[in-house]
Amino acid sequence: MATTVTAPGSFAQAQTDLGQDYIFAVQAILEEINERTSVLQMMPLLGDLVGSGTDTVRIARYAGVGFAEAFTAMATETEQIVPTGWTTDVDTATIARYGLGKSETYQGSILNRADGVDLDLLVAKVPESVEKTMRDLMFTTMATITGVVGTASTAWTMDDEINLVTNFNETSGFQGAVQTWRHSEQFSDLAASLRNEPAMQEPGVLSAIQGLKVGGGAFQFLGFDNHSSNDVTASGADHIGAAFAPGAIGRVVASTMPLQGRVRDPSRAMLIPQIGLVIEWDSTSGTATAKFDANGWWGTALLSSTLFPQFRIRSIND
Amino acid sequence: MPIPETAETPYEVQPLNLATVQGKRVMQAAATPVFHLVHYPDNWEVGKVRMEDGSLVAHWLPEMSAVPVVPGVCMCRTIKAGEPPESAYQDHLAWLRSRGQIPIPMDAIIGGSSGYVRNVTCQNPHTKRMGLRHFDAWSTPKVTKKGKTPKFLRDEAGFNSWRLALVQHGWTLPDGTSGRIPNPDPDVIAAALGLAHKHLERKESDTDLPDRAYARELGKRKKIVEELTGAVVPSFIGAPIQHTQPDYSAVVIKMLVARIEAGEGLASVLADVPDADERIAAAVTAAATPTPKPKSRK
Repeated sequence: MATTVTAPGSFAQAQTDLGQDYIFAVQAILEEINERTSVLQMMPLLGDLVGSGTDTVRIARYAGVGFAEAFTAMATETEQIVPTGWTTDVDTATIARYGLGKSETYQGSILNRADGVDLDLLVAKVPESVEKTMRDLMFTTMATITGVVGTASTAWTMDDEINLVTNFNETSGFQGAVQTWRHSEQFSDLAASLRNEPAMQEPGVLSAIQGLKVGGGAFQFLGFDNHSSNDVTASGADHIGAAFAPGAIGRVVASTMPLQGRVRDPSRAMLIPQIGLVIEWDSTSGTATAKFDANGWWGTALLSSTLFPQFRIRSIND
Repeated sequence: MPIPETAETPYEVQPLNLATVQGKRVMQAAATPVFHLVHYPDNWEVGKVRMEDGSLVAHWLPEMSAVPVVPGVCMCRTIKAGEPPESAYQDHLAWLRSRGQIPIPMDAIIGGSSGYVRNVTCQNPHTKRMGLRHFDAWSTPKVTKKGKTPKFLRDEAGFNSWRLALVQHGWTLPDGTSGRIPNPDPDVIAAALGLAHKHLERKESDTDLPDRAYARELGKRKKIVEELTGAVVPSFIGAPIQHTQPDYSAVVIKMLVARIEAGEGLASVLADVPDADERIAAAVTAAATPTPKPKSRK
């Protein structure tokens, strides 16, 4: 239907036929905020199961010798030395299969704007999803730690913090390095408790703890490296953080290198054997749909507290 | 002006219930895996238990950790074709037991009821993917704002009663086996009391605090010491059904037998069984002991 423009010609009259409802801002499409905490480098690689014939890795350890064992004072000049023994034990890790995929219709691909959200953009985000998965797995593993400080039904306090430090310091052989991972609410509880601690009434301490951001690096307190993540698990009414010597939680992978000759289109498949990942492209012409599938094989394990001291950090989720 | 009542009409008029129009709210949170509640014998805490007369009495109770079941984590694995789903976590449970932990089976029957895991349909606020968020039976989800960790109302007294029952009566499983949490070690209780006293002493020396804050902080710790000192230490009273296998489910035994049948060495399998020698000796003794014949009805 023709539009009759009456004088004076206005934008309101012109927009329908000559203008447009909106344009997109001249900048990259913005991604909504996500926690970007990376823990991959905090979990040492315990083994690669490629070509091993098993899905299980055993990590052996020994004890009762060297610094653990002193000489016995002999009663006489000729008393016979009785040989002593030692101990061995193992920790075990297994892998599982993980998957992530995206699909898009041919029509979607054809009509997408040049700077739109398409499969090419999405496949580039897969490594970030690996990081997110590793973070979830590390926090899940933390829930299996046997030692615990704090209780489910109460807020974390400075008393609990002192207990935590004491538990580490009084562990024979403890070397000093500890990282803690807690929900942000657990740090809020600690900050609240510090207000009633005369020895901690320093602006620097309170500012540092209140300034601690999820995924924002470590906050040094009482000799520990403290990290915050809102992905720390909760069973419902409680947060299950943890403190542990670096190395307590490790990871295993199965290298995807043998798949190089097995994937459907080797020229387009992406293999990242170091983290056990393979990404393949596929399409179905009958339904005019393209997709990629990412498969990963990895796992995490909690190593013995006799190797790496470790405690759960438990407090109320309210 | 208040909103008026509906005038007299032959029809049944009800206040609008948004849930019937819009459907139930979906929790805006990421899905979480199913979990086992697991107790470690060194971990005890004090909680109030509702008694039959309605009073709340402090008891020493086994601390419980919710240990998620996720393939790839701590011996949970991807199941092989044809295996039942629970095979994914049997090695995981054996691993927990080998570390001295006591997983409470998800189908444990305690006080006539079972199934301590609940779930709610949720939608991940970032991916918009639907899923299930799991939590324990004593937690009721509250409305969660987008981007916030889900919050729950907690029936602490109910959870505490259940925990007490795990010690006093134990549990039975559908296959007839049973288990229980052993009585607390007196040394563990003594250590917890000692710690509470230490906290009290530390706070007594905080005389730099303003008077009101000092009194409040001191009062909190005195209350904790009083509560811990006066708490009842539970002990085993008797299970509704007595069994000789306290904490080892038939499912796990089947799994161990399957590993032997698959060609794994007996020694290797038994290495994963806590107290294997004692268990075998007890089983042999029980088998060698003649069962008394039932008395005739004559």
